[in-house]
Amino acid sequence: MHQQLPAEGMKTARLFMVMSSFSPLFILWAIRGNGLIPEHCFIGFCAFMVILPNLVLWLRYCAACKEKDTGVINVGRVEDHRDHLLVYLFAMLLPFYTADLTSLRELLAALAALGFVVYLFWHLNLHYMNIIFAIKGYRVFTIYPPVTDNPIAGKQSQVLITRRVVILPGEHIIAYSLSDNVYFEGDICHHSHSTLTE
Amino acid sequence: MPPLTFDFDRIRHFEFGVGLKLDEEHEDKNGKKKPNGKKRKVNYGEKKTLDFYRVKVDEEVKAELLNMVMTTWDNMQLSKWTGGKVTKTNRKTAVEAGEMEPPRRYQPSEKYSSSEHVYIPLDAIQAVHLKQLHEADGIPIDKGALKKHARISVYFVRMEDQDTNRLTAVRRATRFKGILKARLIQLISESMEIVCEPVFQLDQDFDLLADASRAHILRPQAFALAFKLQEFIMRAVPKNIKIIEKAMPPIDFEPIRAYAVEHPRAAGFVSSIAAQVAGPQPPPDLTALKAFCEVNGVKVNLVEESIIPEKGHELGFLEVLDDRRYAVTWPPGGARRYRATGRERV
Repeated sequence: MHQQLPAEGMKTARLFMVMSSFSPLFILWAIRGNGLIPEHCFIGFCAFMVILPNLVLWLRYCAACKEKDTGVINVGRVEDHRDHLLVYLFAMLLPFYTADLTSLRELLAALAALGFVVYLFWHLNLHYMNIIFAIKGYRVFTIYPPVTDNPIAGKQSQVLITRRVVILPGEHIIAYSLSDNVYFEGDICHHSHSTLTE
Repeated sequence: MPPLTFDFDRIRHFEFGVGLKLDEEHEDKNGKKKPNGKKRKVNYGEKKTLDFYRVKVDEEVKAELLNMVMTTWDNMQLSKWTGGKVTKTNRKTAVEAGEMEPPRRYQPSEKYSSSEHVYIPLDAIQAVHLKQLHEADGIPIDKGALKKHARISVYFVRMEDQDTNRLTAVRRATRFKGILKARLIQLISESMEIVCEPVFQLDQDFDLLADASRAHILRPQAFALAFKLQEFIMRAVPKNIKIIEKAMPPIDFEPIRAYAVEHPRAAGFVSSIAAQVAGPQPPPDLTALKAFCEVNGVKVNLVEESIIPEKGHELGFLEVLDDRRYAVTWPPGGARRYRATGRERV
């Protein structure tokens, strides 16, 4: 008898987190400019697409710290996913950056393609592919739970964004929850981390 | 009594969740057709009895749940207080008095009052489902779990302190679920209106608290119902009989086995006896056992160095083995036979 896994929650927050991972693209587009749309409109749009998603990510972050929304991760097997960042850079940023946006049809095609990629990232739970994390020195690990015969224990993998260089099997980590399966272990929350009884 | 192995001042992780009845079981109870008209078997033993999901809660709810845990611990001490009504002035004395008196071990064959502090080691076979919940990592999150209110069977809290000690608290969801059926009204602007959304009501305390080594049970019946202990005990009869047979080789347990797999009360005795005889035991004195059975009106036969209960006396024989039959022989007029539904070693 298998337990049906519930659908991943926080859909809107995850969508904005995916959008925030596209910030570098909008920054590059804003620098390049566009002949079709007036400069101030295009730059305003790009700035909006950079600021809003990152603001939502930051707010989710603060909410997790404030609510002490934590999760326990017991490490069974670990995969370091630095290669995901390369895929992100080469498969997404560069093609979009080099796209020709001088005609209306090209611009619409690029935006449609961007929409498909956003949907895929959102659907495949790749909302942690954020270059800001990499710049800040964070690594992304996919952690699989230890093999156990406990029928209640979760079997799903978790994603941990952390400054740790190595995570060893058997480690027991408590981290803040960004979404149902993505956790963040950072020093930003530390000052506000207190016990419940305080 | 050993205190809980948990530091309430250094909690670093807190989670709340619910246990939902399994899909199939819920459908069966609600009269839906079973596939092929065959009776579905419910898995227990090493399998799970409920689907457990975590539900996110805010700081206020967490604080309230933590208060419930504290109240549970206090109520466990108070359940042993025999000094009359507990008031604000004598509450501290009552709690301290309770702390001095160790709780008894939970036994499935015992009859308990509605609120009585007992304990069970987490390694005990009867605590297997509770242990699974206590030790499970990565219980999935389901924000929609509370919407399946008809399936909610229990709710639980799990906490972890800075030393990675874990504490689990479980409560049967009677009021938590029942409030959904009530017609609630609330004052909106200046008029009363019916509350259409489901409202969940937390209880005053939990039914049990479990740390790494043992579960402290405040409501033994709730523990048995929440973790479907009766079904589990029925299923465990063959296993428990093997344990007893090993400890008491001269007794023929075949008729007992056949009887116990059909009768929940007998299965409870088997489980209780198995827990008592686990480990090395001196062999029973068959002559003394037969004599004791005769005094207590339980008919047994001694056949070829083996003792066998007569048909219809299986339950009585199990009561003898579980120290639940006694006779008062000193008054004139013959022995007065009694059955002990609850017992305490003196």
